[in-house]
Amino acid sequence: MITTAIDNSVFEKLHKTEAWMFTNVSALSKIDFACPSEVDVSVIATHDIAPENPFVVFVNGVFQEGCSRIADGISVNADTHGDIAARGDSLIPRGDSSSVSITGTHAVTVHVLQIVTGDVPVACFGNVIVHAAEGESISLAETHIALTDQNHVFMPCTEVVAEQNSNVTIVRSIRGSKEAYHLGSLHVAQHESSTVQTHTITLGGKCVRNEVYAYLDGEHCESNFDGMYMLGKDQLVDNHLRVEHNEPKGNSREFYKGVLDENAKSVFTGRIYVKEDAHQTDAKQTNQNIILCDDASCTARPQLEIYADDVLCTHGATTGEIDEEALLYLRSRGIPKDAARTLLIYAFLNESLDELTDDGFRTVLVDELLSNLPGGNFIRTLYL
Amino acid sequence: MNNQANNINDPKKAVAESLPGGGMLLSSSNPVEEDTALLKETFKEKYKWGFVTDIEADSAPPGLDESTIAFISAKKDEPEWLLEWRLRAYRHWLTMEEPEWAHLTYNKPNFDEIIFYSAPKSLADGPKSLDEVDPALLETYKKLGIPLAEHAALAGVAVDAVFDSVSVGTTFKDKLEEVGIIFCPISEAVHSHPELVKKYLGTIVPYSDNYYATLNSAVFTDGSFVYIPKGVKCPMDLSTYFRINAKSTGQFERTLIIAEEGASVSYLEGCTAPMRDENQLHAAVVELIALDDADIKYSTVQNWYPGDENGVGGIYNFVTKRGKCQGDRSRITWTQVETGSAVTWKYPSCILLGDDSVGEFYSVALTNNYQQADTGTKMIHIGKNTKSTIISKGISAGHGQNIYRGLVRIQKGAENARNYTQCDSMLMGDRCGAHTFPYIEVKNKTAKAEHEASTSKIGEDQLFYCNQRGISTEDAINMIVNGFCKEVFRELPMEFAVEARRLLEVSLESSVG
Repeated sequence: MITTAIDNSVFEKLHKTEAWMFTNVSALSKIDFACPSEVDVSVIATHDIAPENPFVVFVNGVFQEGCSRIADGISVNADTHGDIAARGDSLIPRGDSSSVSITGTHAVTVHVLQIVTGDVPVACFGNVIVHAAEGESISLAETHIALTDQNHVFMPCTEVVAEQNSNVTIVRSIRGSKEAYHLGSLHVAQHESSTVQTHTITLGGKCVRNEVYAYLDGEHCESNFDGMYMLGKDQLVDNHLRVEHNEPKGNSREFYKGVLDENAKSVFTGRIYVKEDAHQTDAKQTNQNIILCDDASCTARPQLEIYADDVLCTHGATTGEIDEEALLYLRSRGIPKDAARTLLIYAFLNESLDELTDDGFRTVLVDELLSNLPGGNFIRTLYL
Repeated sequence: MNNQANNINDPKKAVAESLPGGGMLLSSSNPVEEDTALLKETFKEKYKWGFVTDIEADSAPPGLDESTIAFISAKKDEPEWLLEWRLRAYRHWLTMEEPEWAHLTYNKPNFDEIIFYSAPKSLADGPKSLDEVDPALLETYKKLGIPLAEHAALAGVAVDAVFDSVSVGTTFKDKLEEVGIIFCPISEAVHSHPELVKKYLGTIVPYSDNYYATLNSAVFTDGSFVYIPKGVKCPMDLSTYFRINAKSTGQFERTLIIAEEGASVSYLEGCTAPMRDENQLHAAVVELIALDDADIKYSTVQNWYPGDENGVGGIYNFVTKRGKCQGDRSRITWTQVETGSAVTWKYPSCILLGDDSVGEFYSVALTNNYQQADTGTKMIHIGKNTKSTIISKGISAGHGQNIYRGLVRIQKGAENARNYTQCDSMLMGDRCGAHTFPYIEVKNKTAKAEHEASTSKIGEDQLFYCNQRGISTEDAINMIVNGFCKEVFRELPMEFAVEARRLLEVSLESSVG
């Protein structure tokens, strides 16, 4: 049994640092976190999105062997950590949990389901290690769901090593209770000519921090780090990225977009770091926000730190309302105002989901998005 | 990387060299290395204006405590309230820590070694006109090319020259007085217009604002005071030159500009400083207040001594500049050309409080050798329909590090606020750095904030194009850099635009990325 004894005090002063200045999690330092309780395993079945695929289930950080389907190349070990996370300056505490290791080539997406639940606040970790050897291809879907409305704190940490010519895709979705805290991190080390794509989709949670640390350690790396969020009352998402171009000819894209309703808050901090002599780096980062309510707010810090001269780096951030002209276009064609608004928001967010290649997972996420979206049922009647 | 590898990535050059005689066009078989050598050579150009005037200074002993502040205050014969204000600032300063968030590395100044007050002694007698000014001082100005006496008339500029903390000559005073404009050293304004100074001093940059602004509040020695009455358009550009002279003198200037309803003024500030081996601290505070329909344009050409090619010496320029568009439809424009200082830490800001007010920031920052500049702006949108524009051009060469750090904050009540930000960086050489750290905070859904940034170098194909047409590499670089900075230069007043161009040319002759 894994205990969840964590040192609460680390949360108290995190927001005093530059990296956390817009995200205050000091409330966590006052919560007594309990040990995980017994779980009704029947709920797990409802989240088994792809019954044919390998399936690894954790509840409160504890591996559920009975519900999981383990394939070749997937193993669950106690207390193992990768060494990629140590390269960054992440302040999220690390802890022990059963770790999933994924290696080899997988024809279908491996689904890792992490459930946090309990009648009292629970704190737990989830460690995943992905190692794609030369030429291998791995697709991973991580679903993080808090089932109960408690101040749970879940701290998943996924470490990825992509060796030469390998290909790794990770879709991480944060769903469920709008009371839970989610402090997640992804650490990626890439070797020559490898391709890594991550999609971080935030639909649930009260305070969600998604950190991505990427190290492009070989030439010709391709990296795509995307994010999407749809937030409502009292929700905050903090997407925090650092992409290090350490070798020439790397190509990285960060594209984060979201919609903020009621008093939701979004924070985006992206740092592209280009090391000396990492010439012909091509890096782009973009953050787009649509604000629906007067009380919503967003903060963007798209940052460039460049020490090489032959590079192409751009960043951009936009914030605003729904495009009035697009709205007029739809209304002039007889679509009611509310419906037109919903349609435009959906189109804006769905662009991000369209990139997901696995139909099963995309359908689930579209469905979840629609239930979060004001007027989502209207879209449902149109499309589904 | 060898030349051949470069060619692969630069098809135009590869083609040029594969043609018979094609390489000749580039003047050498290895143009990259040659250009780099040329770059290195011209970047070594010595600081033109490094000289020291020998004047017996009437200085405070080094170090800072309450008696130093009392000394400064007594020297200026200041009223009680000002001394109290200074002491409040000093006591607050003692509780503060030097900020570390800037992307800078430098040795923190040792405040025990700094002389906080130094006045040219001949001034104690108080010159009544230019004739009475110490000829050595005038000589210094001459070397600097400041149009003080008849030059001033020709140039149409009123100069309030600050020489080691004390203003020594003020021209065009009568002309300005005719229309009711007050333009004088702030130490004089404290006596002649105490009600205005008391009303506005520290309202934009409070004494507790930040580490260096607080230090300035405690020990500021002199600076300019400008008051433009209601409805008056200032008939000429106002100008001031600061110059650090006596060794180890921290310069703590305090400038206060007030534009009443419907007033407008253009203020120019320019700096050159003599060569020094040790780092000198310059911590100025500038406060601007624009009431309804007022318009203030503040332009700076900053050329403090940047240190030598090994990064030894140079000025620390830690400046707090802030303007408040207090009235409706007011406008504040900051334009700066930053080529000097070893370390620059400076964010001219606008608080857009009045409805329909406008804030603008145009900046060219150049870092060469081991210079570091962490500079940018803050635009705080509070009023409705407020607009701000930020155009920032950063040029890095040698081992220079150029950082743009800018905040755009749109408060909840700022309906229809608009911001447009463009920050472009140019890198010359592969050991310099260009960094961009924007902060964009939006709390109103009707607001629109746009941010664009790009990083580039002077392309070999651009240089090749110019070379081909008989333009030397040096001229081509000047041309390209000038083009790069054009959006900012065109905002500068005429005489500054000329100076700025010359300054960049001196610093940037023959640089190739």
